[in-house]
Amino acid sequence: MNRRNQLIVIVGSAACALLSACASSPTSQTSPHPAANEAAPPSAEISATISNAGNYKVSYITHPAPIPLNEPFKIEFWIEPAGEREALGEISVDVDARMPQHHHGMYRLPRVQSLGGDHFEAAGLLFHMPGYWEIYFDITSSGVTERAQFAVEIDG
Amino acid sequence: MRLRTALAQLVLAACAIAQAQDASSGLVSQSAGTGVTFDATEVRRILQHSPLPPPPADSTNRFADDPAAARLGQFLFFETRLSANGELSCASCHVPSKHFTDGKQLSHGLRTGNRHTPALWNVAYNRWYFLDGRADTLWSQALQPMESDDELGGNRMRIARLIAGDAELRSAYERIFGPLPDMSDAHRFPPDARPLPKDVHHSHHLAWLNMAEADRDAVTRVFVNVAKAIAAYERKLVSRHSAFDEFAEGLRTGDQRKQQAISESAKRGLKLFVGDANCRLCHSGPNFSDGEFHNIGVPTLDGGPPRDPGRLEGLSMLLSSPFRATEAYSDDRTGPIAERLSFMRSDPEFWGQFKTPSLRNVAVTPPYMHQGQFATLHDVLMYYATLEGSTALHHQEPFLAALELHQIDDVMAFLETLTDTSLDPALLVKPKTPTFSDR
Repeated sequence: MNRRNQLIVIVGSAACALLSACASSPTSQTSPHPAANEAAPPSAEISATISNAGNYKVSYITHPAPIPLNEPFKIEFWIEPAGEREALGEISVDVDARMPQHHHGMYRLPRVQSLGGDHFEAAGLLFHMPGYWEIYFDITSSGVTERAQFAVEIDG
Repeated sequence: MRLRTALAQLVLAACAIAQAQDASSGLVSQSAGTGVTFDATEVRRILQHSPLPPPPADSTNRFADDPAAARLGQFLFFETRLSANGELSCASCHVPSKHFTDGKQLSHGLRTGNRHTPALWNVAYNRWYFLDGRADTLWSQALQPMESDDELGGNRMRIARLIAGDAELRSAYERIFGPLPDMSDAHRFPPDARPLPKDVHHSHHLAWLNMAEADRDAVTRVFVNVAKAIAAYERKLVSRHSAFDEFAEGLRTGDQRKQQAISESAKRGLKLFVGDANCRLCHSGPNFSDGEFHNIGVPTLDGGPPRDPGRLEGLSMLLSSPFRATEAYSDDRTGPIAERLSFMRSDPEFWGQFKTPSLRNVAVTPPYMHQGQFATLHDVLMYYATLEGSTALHHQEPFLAALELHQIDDVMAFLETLTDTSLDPALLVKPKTPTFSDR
């Protein structure tokens, strides 16, 4: 992966509060027939982290990569059970991003769709400014939301 | 021997590729003139601002690049019969001799508006239209001033009648868009009619409601085609050959002569622009705009609290507009512009946001900001440097780093290098006829 313009920092187990608002977002995508590792993520060009409570491993890659400044892009991602969680179970997923230093996020609401099993895609993302962005994967199961969070530096 | 020659050629080719990669990626620090140098990151950032490619396609307007449509549109751009009083046209506020703006703080058509008239340079590159982005295409932008009571105050029924009743306009129109509807029945097609959902007792609105739905649609299609022709003309108002572009070309190719196209002060300003001054946070890309919306806390013109909802209202208006890209009058209801709409979200933080303007030709298009609050570029940069008078409410963006006065002068010198007002003089005036027949 070309890292010159895009510095991926794995935040790992970021301490994030449960976000009930996100859980009801229209971007939610339920995975109705979860199966572990149906479509294994490619080992290269991938970033991965564990959700804040440790129950999910999220891996993702962007299309295109690196993330272009002010152009739409997609995120292909995989969610696997982690820690003591043995199966993915029925989950819903929201994807969003913010620039915490600017107190604002994207002007768009990504749309998440299941590609089967643990494999998902989020479309409609656009980072309109260079700088530090955080990408959030909010995974909800039985009313409990965990967040896997990645930090991305967009230099443009 | 052949092998040696082949190897030598291979090595030379590899070196050439490596040099090209270095040049394109800016991996090597480059000198630009006598005093100012740019490191690899700065070079890469500078080259992101030039060249400006041709305008993006607009698949929602299949006449967008039709020369005959542009000619008709140019004629209509200057056509005062589109207005209620017969005295105003698009060019009354977007004055060609004033770089397609009017030099006033607030627009002034039939009435004084509450926002500044933006210049039309490079308008074809916009992602959203109006300062609040309440239109998603250039043609759907052009519709609104024609019926706005603050601007031309016209109505679509009268505009359709104008096209049908003027032999030259009718001929030009029908050559491009096909036959006009038969509007000879005055009962079915009154002199004046338009929808005014916020003024339901208005005579135009009542007349509109009395029309059959098919007739309303036929008239609206003429109205839309007029706007699509105007948009075809406006797409030609492109500025992309500034002194900065020549400098950037010199930086890209290593041409030292071209690197002298801008002054040392401008180079220092450019270094700040892509560096510490953070201008590129919003003024990014080859058109020097992210095309999106920001609230930078500019003090209001009357000194009171900010009352203009900006993007928050603009997005709401866009998503309910019958002229947005997904709707019936668009020529591509599922293309990229339409798809973009499907991802829109509304958020309280949109309150008070306005669209980032392009900086191309910024030095010749004062005053600045959404109400023309600042008369000069110096005033703008002083505001960014000091935030004096900024509105505390809704200020959610970090600003430029504080600049010294001499740095402000340098950034101004750089901004002045973005001036390129060269345009075919024939595009600056009303043509004799709406077709090419007079050539």
